[in-house]
Amino acid sequence: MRSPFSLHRRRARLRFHRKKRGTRLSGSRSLASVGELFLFTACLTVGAVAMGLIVYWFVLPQWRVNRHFVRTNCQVIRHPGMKKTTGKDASLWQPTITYRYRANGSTYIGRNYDLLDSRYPSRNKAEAIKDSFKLGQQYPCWYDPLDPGTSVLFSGNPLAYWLLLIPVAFLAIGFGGLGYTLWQFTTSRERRAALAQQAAGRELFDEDQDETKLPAIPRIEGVSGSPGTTLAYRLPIAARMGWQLFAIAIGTACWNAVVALFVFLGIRRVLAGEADWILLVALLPFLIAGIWLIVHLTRLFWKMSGIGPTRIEICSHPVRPGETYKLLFVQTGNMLLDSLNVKLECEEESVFQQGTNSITASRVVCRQDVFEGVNISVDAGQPFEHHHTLMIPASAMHSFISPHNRISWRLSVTARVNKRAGYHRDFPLIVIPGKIESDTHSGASA
Amino acid sequence: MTKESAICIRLISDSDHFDLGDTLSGEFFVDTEDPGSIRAVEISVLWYTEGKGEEDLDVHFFKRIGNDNGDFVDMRQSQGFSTALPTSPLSYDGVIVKIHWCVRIRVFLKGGRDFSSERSFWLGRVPRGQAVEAQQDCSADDAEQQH
Repeated sequence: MRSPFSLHRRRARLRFHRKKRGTRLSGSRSLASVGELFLFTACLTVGAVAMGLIVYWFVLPQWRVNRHFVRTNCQVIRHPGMKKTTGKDASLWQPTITYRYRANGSTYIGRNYDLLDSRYPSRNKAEAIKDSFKLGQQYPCWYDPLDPGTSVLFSGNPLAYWLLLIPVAFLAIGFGGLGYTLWQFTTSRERRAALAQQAAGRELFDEDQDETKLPAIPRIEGVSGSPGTTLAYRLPIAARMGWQLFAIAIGTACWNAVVALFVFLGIRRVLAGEADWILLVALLPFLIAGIWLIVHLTRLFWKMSGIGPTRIEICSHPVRPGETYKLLFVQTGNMLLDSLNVKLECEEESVFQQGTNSITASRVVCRQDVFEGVNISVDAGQPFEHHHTLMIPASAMHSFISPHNRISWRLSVTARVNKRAGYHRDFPLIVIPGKIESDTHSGASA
Repeated sequence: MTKESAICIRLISDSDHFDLGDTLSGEFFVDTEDPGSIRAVEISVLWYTEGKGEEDLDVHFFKRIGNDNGDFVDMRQSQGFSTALPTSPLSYDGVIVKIHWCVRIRVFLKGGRDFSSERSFWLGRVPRGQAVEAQQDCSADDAEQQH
């Protein structure tokens, strides 16, 4: 007799690849984690080494200047000057100031403006420092009580502390990345998902939240928030032809503006008697393309000028499998429709990585004719209106959304317009599972 | 020679089909010779996607029983779990998107390794999805777009 228990053991293994997609293999998550581990360890190491060096070379000496150096007065004994150091790419300027001071009963000669021996790419800045010291004048200076020969004229250089930001950034990336990678290594995927829910504010078993009542179903408010004029809801349109026209118009304007600029420059040189024929010949194809864009835009605008918006209203939303709904189809504009088709469609959509590409695959799994008409006249003063009944198939899968997968329902409108371009418009529908008790999502019925 | 540990899961139900809102109850035990080697056990009731796209996963119920907090639980004894199933997503066997529900038990050993077992079940009764033949009026069928 077969045991009611399923007996199974599956060990976690280091897999070198995931799914095989065509002739390519997706990368392994484990190997990616190992790569991340190396990367963040390297960041941590670089950050730690840089931190040690910067602290040893810059921060500690500057800290000693601020905390332990003794203040005294000094006298500038030579005309302050400038020293120029020429490197491969740029020159650096350094003020040279020689001063005399007394410490522990002895006289010392100092030449350091600051402890970092700063040089400046800006000559003006170096000159400003030089000009702030005059020969024979007295100024404060600071010397090291342990080594009175070491002194500076400027004790407040903050550069040493700013330098700390570089290793701190590396250390933050290294620590954060390592922590995240180790967390991924040591935590199961299920636990991470549960923690992510908590972090997102979705408590498991929290019955009061809408998202918990219908998890993995697209948010309904965005679709149902638009009331209709005759029926309860007006379905939003998924894509507007106007946006396509707008994008082409913007592209045409940008293209022709750039071409016009070069044409202007070319003509100005011709008028000045310095004609650049190479430029003018090179501009010719760009000019032709610009003219073609204008013609294309004008034709598109003319074709679409009489096509008004399409409106679909429904008596209740979201919808449920096996139920029927009143539907109102409205087409405005001024045109003759050779044919008009309204279909109910369900489409599966998947997103996956193939190499560095993100591919979206889609497949229609349900298509049902809702309304079909021919030779429909639409006048500006009298839009075409058609009342119909929409039946959602009883076996329909509900709408679904997750980060890489989606099942979406829509009313798809396709029209062929007499002597003009046809159009295709989609109106998303949200289908929720049937037989839900204590459901608060259903819209008001008209 | 010591035999390998295994996880045994049983759903307390007449069938593997559940309706939305039903209570899913079950039990499991770990068939092992060394129960002291188990550091923790995680019980999850979850759905995951399968098909052409990347796999997505979400947990509906999650419970962790740790043996590392001083309270020893002998996993050789049957451990029960129970949860009210959600209203969505329903199980679905589509063309490029499939949604599977399962109870997954993951056992963490003291050495740092882990192993798991799962028991699938069906939430709802949505029939299998089938691709619609490509028609002239819709060019979106079987489309692939690169980004």
